[in-house]
Amino acid sequence: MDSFEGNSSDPASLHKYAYCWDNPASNYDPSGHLTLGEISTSTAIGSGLSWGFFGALSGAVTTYRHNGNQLGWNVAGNAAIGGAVGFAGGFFLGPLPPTAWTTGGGPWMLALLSGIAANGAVQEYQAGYADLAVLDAAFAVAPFMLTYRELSIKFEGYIESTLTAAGKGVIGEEAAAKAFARAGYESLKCRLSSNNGPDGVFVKYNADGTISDLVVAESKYAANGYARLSTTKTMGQQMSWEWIDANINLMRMSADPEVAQTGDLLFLNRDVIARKVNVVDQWGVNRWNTVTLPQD
Amino acid sequence: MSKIISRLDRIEKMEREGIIKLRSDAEKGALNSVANLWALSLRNLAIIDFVKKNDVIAFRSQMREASLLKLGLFDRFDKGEKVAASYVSLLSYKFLFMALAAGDLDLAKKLASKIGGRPVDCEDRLSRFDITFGSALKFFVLDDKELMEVWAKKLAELHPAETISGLSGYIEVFQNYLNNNQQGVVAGFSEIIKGHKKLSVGKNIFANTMDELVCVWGLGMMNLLRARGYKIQSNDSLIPEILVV
Repeated sequence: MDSFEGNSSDPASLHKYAYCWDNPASNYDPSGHLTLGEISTSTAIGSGLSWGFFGALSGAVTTYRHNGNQLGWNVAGNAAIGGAVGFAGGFFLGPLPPTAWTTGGGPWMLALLSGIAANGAVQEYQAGYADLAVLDAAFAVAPFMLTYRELSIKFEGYIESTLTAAGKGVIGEEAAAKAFARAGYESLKCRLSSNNGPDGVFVKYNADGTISDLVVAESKYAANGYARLSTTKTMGQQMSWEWIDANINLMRMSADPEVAQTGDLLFLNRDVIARKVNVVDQWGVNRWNTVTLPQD
Repeated sequence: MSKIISRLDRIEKMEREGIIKLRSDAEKGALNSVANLWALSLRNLAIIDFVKKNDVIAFRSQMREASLLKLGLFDRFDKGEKVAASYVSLLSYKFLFMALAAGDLDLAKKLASKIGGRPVDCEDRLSRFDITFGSALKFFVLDDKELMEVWAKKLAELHPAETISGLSGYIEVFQNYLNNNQQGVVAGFSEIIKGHKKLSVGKNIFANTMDELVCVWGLGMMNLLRARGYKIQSNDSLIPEILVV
């Protein structure tokens, strides 16, 4: 059953047993809330642009150096080719879920890309271009450095063995914040001075400025991916409505005006609040809707 | 961190404006979603009205109204209406204190008879502290000494990590009441005030809440004990004598 309470402006989302607007064939829903269109278009364009930028930079710098440090049409041409190839790679590969790189052919693909860059580094070095060799060497290790949290096969147990409990919690919160940001949600400040309260509050607005969705989120870390909501000493179970109300009340009285404002927004829109929990496992994989929420 | 008194005006404005919205939501059919939050808001306003205007009547009527909203949630849950299970848990002992602080013992008894013994109270959902403290208070209000003793004993036997040291005064009062020890009850109140002050600073449970201004739990406890014939008086502004029934 879909734990998402739904969006009152979109009746299809209110159905408790519907998945992806009743169109699972063309929609993918890792969060339980979002369609592929919402999640991956912005990710694809974003990663396409960033990969494209580095592709263009690489093409331009390499040609410039091989050209005897002279600018020319071939520099511009290779920059354009590098940019186009980089954009295409980023556009199609960027939105893939982390598991695509850690399972099946994913690790082999990464190893291949890394090998090509490493080979380039050796060739540049032998040709007397030490600076380009360093650049290629950086490209060879970049995939592993930049995605070390997701690349469980290469960094098995990294999170479990090296981070503190607080650090693990932060990883869960960061994963939630990224997912909501990708889907166009704004993150609101909600941390109480006691360091209690929900891990995240996210809001999405309609074009006319009215609230489309308002989500209270709790983030968990569990080595095996199976987490439980905690029982607090005096406020009941996390994410129960009693707990949420008590936290809204505390937020409104906060000395931090931003937190108080978030509390008031939740207070004034109490009847449309949705609840979400995400869990990050020791491989860095983030999952939604695996934790049973307290009864409505 | 500034004390809550320094931002009372801002909070009052928020509460008065917010409560209008919740009332409107309730009229449109969302009563079961907003009633609990509405009750918490009334509790805040009760304290604000007392602190700013010395308005005892407003304090009592809003504390009473907050307890009635909670009682309504229990009634509608029992009738099968869609009410979140967590709203009818033993945690509602906090609303017992509101009814007692309002000086309405009958309302407190009605609420006490509703709370406890539900699946949502199991240890998976509530802490052992909330279960034992809530149960001891419930039977205290219902004047059932036998069951109160059972739960007060369990409460006193909790591991220090499971309890809250700043609330030990309440446990002391429970035990001395059960032993008919008037002096012990009075001493317990000193502990309640001392603990309350400790819990009103830093990251403790009453810090940055209206409880910095009035010790509602202590006031409720004092009203209950006075109704049971105990001669106790408040000697601290956290339990203003004018609010004691």
